[in-house]
Formats: sequence, structure tokens, C-alpha cells
Amino acid sequence: MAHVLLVDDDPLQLDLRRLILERAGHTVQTAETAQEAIERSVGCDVAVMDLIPRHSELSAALPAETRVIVLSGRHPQPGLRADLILMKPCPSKQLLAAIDSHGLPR
Amino acid sequence: MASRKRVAALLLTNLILFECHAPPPKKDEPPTPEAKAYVANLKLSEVALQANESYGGQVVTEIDGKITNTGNRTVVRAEVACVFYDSINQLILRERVPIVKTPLKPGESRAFRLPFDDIPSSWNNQMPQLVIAQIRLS
Repeated sequence: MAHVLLVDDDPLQLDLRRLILERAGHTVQTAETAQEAIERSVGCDVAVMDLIPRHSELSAALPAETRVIVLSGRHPQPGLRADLILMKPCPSKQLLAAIDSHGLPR
Repeated sequence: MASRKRVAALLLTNLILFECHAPPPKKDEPPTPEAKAYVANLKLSEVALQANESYGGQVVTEIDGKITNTGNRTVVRAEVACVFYDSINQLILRERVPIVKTPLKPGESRAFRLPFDDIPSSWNNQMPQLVIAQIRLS
């Protein structure tokens, strides 16, 4: 199971995603802002992040070994650090499969 | 923007204390005789179904409720199988999920929340059966 940092500025989505990921056995940290996410990113295997304000700064600040899954309703700008891009709406099964294939500890 | 809608709270007829109609998934071990004997001491209450209509354009259905340990043992884990049916009572989704993951002492109650975003569209929109499928005692 992975240590997941879940980043979204919508608290409802953040809460529901957290419940579903925890149910699947992952350890989940949540953050609503880039600053919170940077502070909580130590030791996370994978960051699942929406394109929140200052997301570029956040992705650059994440530990090098952290895999980054961008989960958003819009396409990110080219060059953004991302191992995988998922578009919303994204069923949780798809996100869990992505974490299994991209986010497990290396 | 989220809008939440209470759909139903009537539940007692949908609660079954131990599953007997289907075997558990292979990856899940079956309950021990001791666990089976104890399951009557776990009470589910205040169970309600609600839909969150804002989830990146997706509808998420959430089951909320409370579990109480009325027995004299500490429960370290409990799982329920949530069984969804269609309009002609065919089983369309069965998902086994933990509702107790840290010790629940005798007399203690705890709220649980179970969100689902993968219920087939043929679902009858009724409260699923909640079946206590596994418990582990300390």
C-alpha cells in the first residue's frame, strides 16, 4: 500500500477521495493548498493533485522520488511534472489502478 | 458546489447480521466461529443514504451510519458487505468494506462513512443490504 498525498481545493472531493483511498488500504494525507501540500509531502510515495493555485510550485517542491498523478478537470500546461494525467470525472477504480501502477513504493 | 440530498433512512429490513447467501471473496478469510457468535453484539444504527452531486462531475453515493459494540469483547476490525440491487432485485454490486479499523471497545459507538462512485446505473436507488461479513476480536 502507498502513502498518498491528496491535494484538492474542494474539501468535499478531498474528503470523499480520502475515504475511498483509505478504504483500499492506502495511508492518506490531504491538503487544500500548495503550502499545506509541501509541508505534508515528506515520505509520500505518490501525490494525487488537482491543478490548484501554485500547483507548478508544488510539483517542483515535491520530493524527487514522489510520483505525481495530476487529477483535474482541465488539461495541464505542457512541462508540468506529472507521471500520469487523469481527467475528471475519474472513477475511483481508475484512480486506484493508477496508484497501484504508478504510486507504489519503489 | 455541492448539493446533498437525503434519500432514505429506513433500514432495519435491509440489515442482515451475517451473510449466508454468498461466500466471501477469495481474498477475504471467512469469519471464525467465535466471530460469528459475536456478530449479534454489533449494532448498526442511524444508517442513511445520501448522494453527493459534486465530485468532479460525478455522483457519489454515501452510506453513513453508526456501529455500536454491545458485547464484552473489543472488536479490532469489522467489515460489511454492501449489496446493491437493480429494479428486479438482481445483485449488481457487492463490495466488502471495513467499518472498524481501530479497536472498538465494549459499549463504544463509532460513526462510519462509505462513499461509492462505481454503482451501476441500473441500481434501484434503494438502501443496499449491509451485511456484517467479518469481525476480528482482540
